Amino acid sequence: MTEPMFLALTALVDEPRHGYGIVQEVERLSEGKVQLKIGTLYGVLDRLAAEGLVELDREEVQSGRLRRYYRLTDSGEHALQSEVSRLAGTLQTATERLSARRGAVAVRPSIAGGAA
Amino acid sequence: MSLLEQRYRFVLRMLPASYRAEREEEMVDAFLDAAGDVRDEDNLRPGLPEVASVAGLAVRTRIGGLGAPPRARATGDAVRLFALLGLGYLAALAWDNVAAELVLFGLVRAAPDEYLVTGEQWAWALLWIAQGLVWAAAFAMLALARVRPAKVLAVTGLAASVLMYAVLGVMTPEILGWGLLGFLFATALPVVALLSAYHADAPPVRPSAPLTAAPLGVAALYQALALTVGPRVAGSPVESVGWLAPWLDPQGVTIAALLVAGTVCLTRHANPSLLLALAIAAVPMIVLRAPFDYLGAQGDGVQAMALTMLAQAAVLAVLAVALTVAAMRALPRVEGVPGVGQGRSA
Repeated sequence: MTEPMFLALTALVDEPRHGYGIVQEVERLSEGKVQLKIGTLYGVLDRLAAEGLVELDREEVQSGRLRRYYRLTDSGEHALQSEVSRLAGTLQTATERLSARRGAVAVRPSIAGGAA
Repeated sequence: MSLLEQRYRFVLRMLPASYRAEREEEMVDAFLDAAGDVRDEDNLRPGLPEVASVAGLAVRTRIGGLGAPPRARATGDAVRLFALLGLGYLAALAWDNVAAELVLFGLVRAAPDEYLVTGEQWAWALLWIAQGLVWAAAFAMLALARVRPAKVLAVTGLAASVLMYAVLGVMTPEILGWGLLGFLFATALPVVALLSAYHADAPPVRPSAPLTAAPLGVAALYQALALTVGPRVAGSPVESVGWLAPWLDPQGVTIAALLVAGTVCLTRHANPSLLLALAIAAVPMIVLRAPFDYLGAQGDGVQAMALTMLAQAAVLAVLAVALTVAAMRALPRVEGVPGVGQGRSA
């Protein structure tokens, strides 16, 4: 699952959103690092819809313009949960290795000091 | 309709009509929401990243991958297969060139002394071999499912080809002509296919180690053909050489292979993607065989050669049209956008 797909699914967890709503939420979730362009967003939505991870929730007309809202499906929820578990495992490993490295770095000067 | 909206709708015309019928209005809504309050006096245009994102979407919707509607998916599979065949063709040409250069280096079998590579030509000949082997490496990477390195190598190979032909063109301007343009087109088309069809939605490539050696095998077969048939043709009357030679160079053999493969696929109602891939592969060969360089040329056998090339181009063009029509008939015409219209609540 690519980062834009992951973020778009995450953006739909709490409520159905329309295109620009997803763009805004993705930007917020990524702390401004991912700013989806409209063409990219609809490429992501096409892929997610084709895999049955999101579906159309409702259509509204705002200021004479069509606005479609998308919602997360049960499959989408499962897919997101699997991805979160996978990422959590990676995070756990990274955290453990960083802790081990800090421990090693903390020990090294004391050994050096002891020898001196 | 504001000026910015008109301009964005113009950009969206890159997308297929069936896609726009489903998505245009909501894309315009999302874009205008993102643009905020804009007056016509501001004379704003959609930014380059926005236009690029629509262009990327246009490529992915027309040259489809996983989850794409049947026609777009078949087109995508065809372009991907053509990219593989095209890179394979360039890699086989490169191995054939290695064999030719080894002859000219005097390493394999005796060539007349005046043709042998001398001092200052070594660097150029080695450079020529190296740029050819980049194609062999690009094909091998694609066969091994290493798509990104394959793209980098293919772009490098194309840049090297353009640069070397540019240098050659400056040194010997008489080589500049339709044939060279055709060759560059035939070189660039598989690279464009590779870059456009192996996108994020493309189905994963099944790696195949034996496939990496296929171009070398094809080049060896071609060398065997050249060594057995070549001397006999060379010994025949000049007029006969003119009729036969266009079937014996690498392009001629490729054209013969395409004609056989295309006819077999048409009669056996093959997969539409295969039909389309062969139709695309015919295009650069048609361009290469357009005998513009020989119009008005005088000499023994030249007219026979030009007529044979013209006939090859014409037969290939008929085959390409037949393959395209057969493929299109085998695919459903109406296409929607996957997922839109499903699970719609009241």
